[in-house]
Amino acid sequence: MNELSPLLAQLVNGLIIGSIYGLMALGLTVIFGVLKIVNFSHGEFYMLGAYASYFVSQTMGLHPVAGIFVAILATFFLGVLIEKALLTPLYENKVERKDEYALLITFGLSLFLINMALAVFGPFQKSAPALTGGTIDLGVITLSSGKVLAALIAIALLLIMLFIINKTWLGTALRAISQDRDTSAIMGINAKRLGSIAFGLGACMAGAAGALLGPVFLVYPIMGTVPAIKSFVIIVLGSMGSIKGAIYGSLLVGLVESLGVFFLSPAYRDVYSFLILILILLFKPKGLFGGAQWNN
Amino acid sequence: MRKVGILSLAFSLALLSLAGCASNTTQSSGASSAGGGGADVIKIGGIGPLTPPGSPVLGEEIQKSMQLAVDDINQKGGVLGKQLQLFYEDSAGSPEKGQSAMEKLIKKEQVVAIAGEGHSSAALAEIEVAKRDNIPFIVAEAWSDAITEKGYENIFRVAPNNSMFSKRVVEYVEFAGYKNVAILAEDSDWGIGNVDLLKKQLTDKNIPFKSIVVDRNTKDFVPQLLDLTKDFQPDIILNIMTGVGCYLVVKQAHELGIAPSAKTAMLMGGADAAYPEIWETTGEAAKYLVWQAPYHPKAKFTDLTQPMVKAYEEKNGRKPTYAALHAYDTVLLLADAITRAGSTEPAKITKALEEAKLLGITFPSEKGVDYHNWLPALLFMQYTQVNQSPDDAEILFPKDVSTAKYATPDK
Repeated sequence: MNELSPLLAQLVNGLIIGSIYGLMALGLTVIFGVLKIVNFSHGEFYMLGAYASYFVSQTMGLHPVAGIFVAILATFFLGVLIEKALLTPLYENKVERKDEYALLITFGLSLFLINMALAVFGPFQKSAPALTGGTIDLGVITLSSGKVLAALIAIALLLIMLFIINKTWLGTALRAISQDRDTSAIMGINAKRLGSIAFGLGACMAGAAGALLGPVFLVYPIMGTVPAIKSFVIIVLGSMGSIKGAIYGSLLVGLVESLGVFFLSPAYRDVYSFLILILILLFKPKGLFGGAQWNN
Repeated sequence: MRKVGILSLAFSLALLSLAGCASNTTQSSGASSAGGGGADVIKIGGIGPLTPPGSPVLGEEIQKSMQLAVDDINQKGGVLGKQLQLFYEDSAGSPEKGQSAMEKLIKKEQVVAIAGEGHSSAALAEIEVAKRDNIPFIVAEAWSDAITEKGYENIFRVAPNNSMFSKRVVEYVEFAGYKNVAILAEDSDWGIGNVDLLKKQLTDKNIPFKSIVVDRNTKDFVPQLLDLTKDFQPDIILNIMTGVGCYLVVKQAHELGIAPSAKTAMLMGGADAAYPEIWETTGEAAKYLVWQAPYHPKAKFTDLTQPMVKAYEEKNGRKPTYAALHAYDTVLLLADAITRAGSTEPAKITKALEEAKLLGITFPSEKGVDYHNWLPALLFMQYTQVNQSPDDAEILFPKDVSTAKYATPDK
C-alpha cells in the first residue's frame, strides 16, 4: 500500500484542485450558454473573489467561510452591474460585429481589473487565513484539512448550481434563453434581466473559486490568469457550453495531470492537460460531449 | 473565414495576456527640474519589472532606490553641474517588453546610460538593444552568467552571478554537512542556469541530488514536492524560485510536513525571503527557513550602507533588500563614471565604468570591476522566529561573520 501512497496523494491533490477549477469552468459555461460570449475577464472575477474573501477574513476578522459568502455576493452583483453596463449593446443591435465586441470588451475589462487591483491593492501578495487548520491523516496519505474543506465547499456549490439550473424556474428560463433567445422572449421571459443574472451567476462562481483557493495559492492582482486558462481548456475539452462537459472536463484535467506527474514528470504538468485537449479535439472536434447544448 | 479571424484575434489576445503584457504601466519619474530640453539635466534610464510575469515588488524596489540615489546626488549638486533625471520603464520581466522599454528609453527619452532590471530573461534581451546602440547598461539584479559572459563592452553588473551563487550554495551545503539535496527551480534563465551549475558541482562533489524545473506560473507545487521526496530523503531542498512561487513552495512544503522539518532544511534562493510578505504569505512556515542575501546589517559593508538603508526606510516605509542596495549602486557608478569621463558621451561613460574604483553600498572601493561585474559578498541567514525581521535573522555562513548555528525544527 505504501508504494501506492505517492500515486494516491497525487490523484487526490489533482482532484481537489480540479473540483475548484470545475466550479470556475461551470461559471464560464453558464455565461457562454446564455449570453453566447466567451468571458475573457473570468480570471479577474476569480481574483476579486479572493480579495473580497481576504478582506472579510483578514481585515474584518470574520471566519473565512463568511469571506466565501461575501465573495460570492460581491462578485454576483458586480457581474450583474458589468453585464448591464458593458454587454447590453450586444442585444440592442447597437453593435455591428457582436463577436468581436464581446471579445474586446471582456478582454479590456480584464486588463482594467488587473490594473485597478495593482493600483488599489498593490503588487504585494497576500494570504487569506486557511479555511481550517491542521491535516487529515488517512493512514496512507495526509491531506491538508483546508484544501479538503475547500474542495467540499466547491462540490456543494456545484451541486447548488446544478439544482438551480435543472430544478428551478430560473434555471428553466435560462435554459430556454440558451436554446433560443428570441422565442423565449416572445414567451414572456425577460431575457435582458436574466442575461444579467446569468453573467452574475457565472462571475460569482469564479469569485467563489478565488475565495476558496486564495488561502491556498495567495492573493495578488494577476492570480486569475492561470485558472482562467485552465477553465478555457476544461470547457473546450468538455464541449463549449455543455454543463456536463465542464464538470467531467475538470475531473479529467485533474486526473490526467496527476497521472502525468506520477508516471512521466512533474516538470510538464500543464502540458498534459493541453495534450489531452489536442487529442480530444482531433478525434472529437466538438469536444467530449459534442454540440453546444447548454443542458447537455 | 470570419470565425477564423475571431479565433486568431482571441488567440493573440490570450497570448498577449500570458506574456504578461496585460498591464502596460509605463512610468517616468524625474527630478523636479525636468526641463525636457536636455541642457540642464543629464537623463539616465531605469528599467525593471513593474507588472507580472516579472516581480513588481522587485521592480518597484529598484525604481525607488534608483530615484533615491538620483535625489541624493542632485541634493549634493548633481553631476558635471547638472541635475540627474531618471526615466524608469516597465520591462514586465519579459524579453519582448524589456526590449521595447529599452528602445523607448534610448530613442524617445534619449538617455545617456541605463541601469536596472531584476530578471535574467529580460536582461539578456535588453543588453542586445544596449549593445546595438552602444549605450552603457548596468544590470542591477539579474544573475545569469551570460549577461557579462557575452563580453559586450558596454554591459556591466553589480549583482552576484549564477556561478558565484551556485558555488556559494554548494559551499554552504558542504559546510552544513547535507548528504542528499533536492532542487526545485523555476524555468527562467536564472533558475535553469542555476540548476545546471548546481547539478555539475554536486556531481563533482559526489553529493546525491534530485531536481525538478517547473513553469514559473505554477501555483500548486504539491505534485513536485511529493515527487522530490518519493524514494529520496533530502536533507535540504533548494528553493530556486522567485515571486509568488517561492512563497508557495515554502507554504506547501510546510503543510505537507516536508520542510523546514527536523529531517529536511529549506534554502530560499531569491531576494523574496527578505521581503515582509514572507510572513504574510507563509505564516509560520518560514520559521527555520535558510535564505541568502548579499547584504545583512549584522555584517558591516561600507560607511555608505547604513545612511542609505535609513533614508530608504524613511522614504518608503519598508526596509530595502539587497536588490535596492544594488540598484542604488548602479546610479552611484553611473554618476561617478560621468564625472570622471567629464562627458555624457556613451562611449566615454563606458570607458570610465571599466576603470571604476568606487566606494559603493555593497562593494568596497579597492575591489574595482571584475570582468564587468562588481561581485558583492553572499551571506546565508536563518529565520529562527515567526515574524522575525530579516535584520534579526542569524547569519549561518560564511563562518567568519556567522552569529549562530543552524537551528533544527522540533519536528
